[in-house]
Amino acid sequence: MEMTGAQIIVNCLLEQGVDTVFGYPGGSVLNIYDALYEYRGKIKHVLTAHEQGAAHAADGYARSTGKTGVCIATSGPGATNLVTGIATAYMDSSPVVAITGNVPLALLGRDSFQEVDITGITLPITKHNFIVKDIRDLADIVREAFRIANTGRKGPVLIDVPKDITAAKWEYEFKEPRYANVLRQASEDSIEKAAEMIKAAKRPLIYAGGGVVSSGASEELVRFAEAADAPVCCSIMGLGGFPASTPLFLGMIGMHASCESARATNECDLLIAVGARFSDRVAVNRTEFAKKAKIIHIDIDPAEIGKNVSVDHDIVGDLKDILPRITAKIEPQNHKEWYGDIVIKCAEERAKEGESMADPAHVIGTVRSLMRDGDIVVTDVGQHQMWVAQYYKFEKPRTFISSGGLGTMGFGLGAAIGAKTGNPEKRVVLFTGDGSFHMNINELVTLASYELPIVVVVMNNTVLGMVRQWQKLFYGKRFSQSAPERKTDFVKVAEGYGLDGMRISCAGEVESVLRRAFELNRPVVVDCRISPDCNVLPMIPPGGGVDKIIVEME
Amino acid sequence: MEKRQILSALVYNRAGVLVRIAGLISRRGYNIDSVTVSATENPKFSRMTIVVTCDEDLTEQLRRQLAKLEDVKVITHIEEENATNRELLVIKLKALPAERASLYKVAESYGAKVVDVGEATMTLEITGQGEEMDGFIEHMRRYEIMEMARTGMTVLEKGDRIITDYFEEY
Repeated sequence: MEMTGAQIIVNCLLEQGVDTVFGYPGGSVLNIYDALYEYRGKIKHVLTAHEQGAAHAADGYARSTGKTGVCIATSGPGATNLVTGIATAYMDSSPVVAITGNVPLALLGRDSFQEVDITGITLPITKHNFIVKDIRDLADIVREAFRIANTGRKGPVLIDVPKDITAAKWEYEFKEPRYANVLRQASEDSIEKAAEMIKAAKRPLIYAGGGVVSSGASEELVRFAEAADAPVCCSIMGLGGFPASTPLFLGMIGMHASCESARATNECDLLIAVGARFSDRVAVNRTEFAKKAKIIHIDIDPAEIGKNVSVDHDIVGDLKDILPRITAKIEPQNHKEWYGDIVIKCAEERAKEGESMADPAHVIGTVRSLMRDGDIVVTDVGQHQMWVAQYYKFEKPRTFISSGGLGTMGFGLGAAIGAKTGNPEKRVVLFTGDGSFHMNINELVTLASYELPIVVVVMNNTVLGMVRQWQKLFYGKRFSQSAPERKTDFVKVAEGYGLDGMRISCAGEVESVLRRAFELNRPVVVDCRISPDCNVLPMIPPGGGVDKIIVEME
Repeated sequence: MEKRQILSALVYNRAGVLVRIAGLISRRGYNIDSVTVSATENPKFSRMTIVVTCDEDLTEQLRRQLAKLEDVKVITHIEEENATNRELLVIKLKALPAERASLYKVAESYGAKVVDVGEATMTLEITGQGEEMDGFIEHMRRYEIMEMARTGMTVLEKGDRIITDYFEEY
């Protein structure tokens, strides 16, 4: 059937099962938006305030649903506004397809109005990208983009479509999407070797990353950990991939590791990394990291093996296939004495500190009590993000949505819009800080337009808290540009955008205000005042080993 | 140990492939010594020879990163002793008529060919391996080198194996 390029794009999205896209119209994508109008009964389009919000929304949608997120922007500034969102998705291996318009073919390369070389710009932050120069290639390029975004290690793909391609006509024929599995199965020998190493270990530790979530291997991980009787610590991306209520869960690993994880990493004689990449926020000092341990690295991406640390054994493939195969080869082990001892020692240390529950922990704990296990928590970036990672007990995969790799302040509101749009039946709460929130506060308009009942909890300490904490530790309390003296009244801001606003001014109000906020079932901003001197602890300073851990500061 | 490492790749013959490959190599912190790209017996593919200086582990890491690119069909690391490597040099020397006879002789002894003779210059062409070329250029410094261009290494593996044999292996 003959169709315009724009209609072909929309039909290819439908082929892939896309029912929701995020975006912002403009000159070069007018044809696409005309086709979206035509197909409005089949595809829902969420209009954001800014293209960055659309990119984060597509990412949040993908992370929370496991489906591909789609965002659309016009040429030039529309396309460049997507860039931070695409880079965020790239660093956290999130499957996003970004479609940008461009000037007509004949105007390409002439510095035309709103022309930008977006495929050039996004080269290092996409798994792959395309510019469509022939209408005959369009449909297959869209299909190919979805295949690339979703196979192997997932990630964003961009398709740049000149305006005349969206107007040109060509034959379209429906094709069932199919992703050939290109992954080779891990060999029996390599599985056997891993099993032998696990059986020989006395103090095994599992370090689980985002790969557990993206391969959907949480249950396989639980069974594996139980059989190996190996405790589990998660990178920030791995949180939710292993239930926090399990006695084997030791908390987050890395710069802001729990006491348990830090000790276990230091003491283990076998570290089994599953779907993780030993980033500098985990292996803070690459040579000191788990230095008493042999390391087994299991990952879908062969280029991760040996990239940051050298390992004793590696298995490349899908965790969902590999973990059960190892589990079947190990008779149940018992290492309770080892990790039981760690848990007791850490509890003693905490008792010594007096366990002064910081305000943020209390706020997070209260929110947790109002949320079900499957409900979704989104964060921005900074101290509040680390507190949520530390204190919120995640039970299920895809319930914690956070920018781990790129650390994008301003990610949260867009991502929460995507998460709520993809999961209307689940509660969605966004934890943000006053710094992050100010970066993309404009997306409150989207909450209002679509009446998205998201609870936004602003951990408002009036300063850029993480910057301030580093300035306290490493810069002699010279608080350069970290105390902006802003006068924003977040309650009035919320009301100005047509939302509800509430305030928590003291500890006594935490429970009652949050309860009311959740009961509203409307978009609401809660301005939660906390002290500017709450710190994220413990902390392993950059480049330091576990022995350099900081447990208290002013 | 850092040394010259050869990566040989079969890549799709599409616009932008060179940028993607060169961009990845530079942003991962490697320096490219040379790259050659050319058409192959199959118009769908181009053949690339990439030469970098680094140690074995980092070369394997780079190979894996490059192998992930959609445009790369297959890429393999060829040990230098296993490589039939050749490069082409074209060199223009100042050569007044009086000097030409001796230059012809030297060229012949190196297996170089005279490809052009100007009023006051001669241009020679030679193919060979890196060190031979370096020796030849060194010798030519006795004359006045006006300009030169060399292609960089282009490589196939010795023996019967061909690059697509590696497709299954990785």
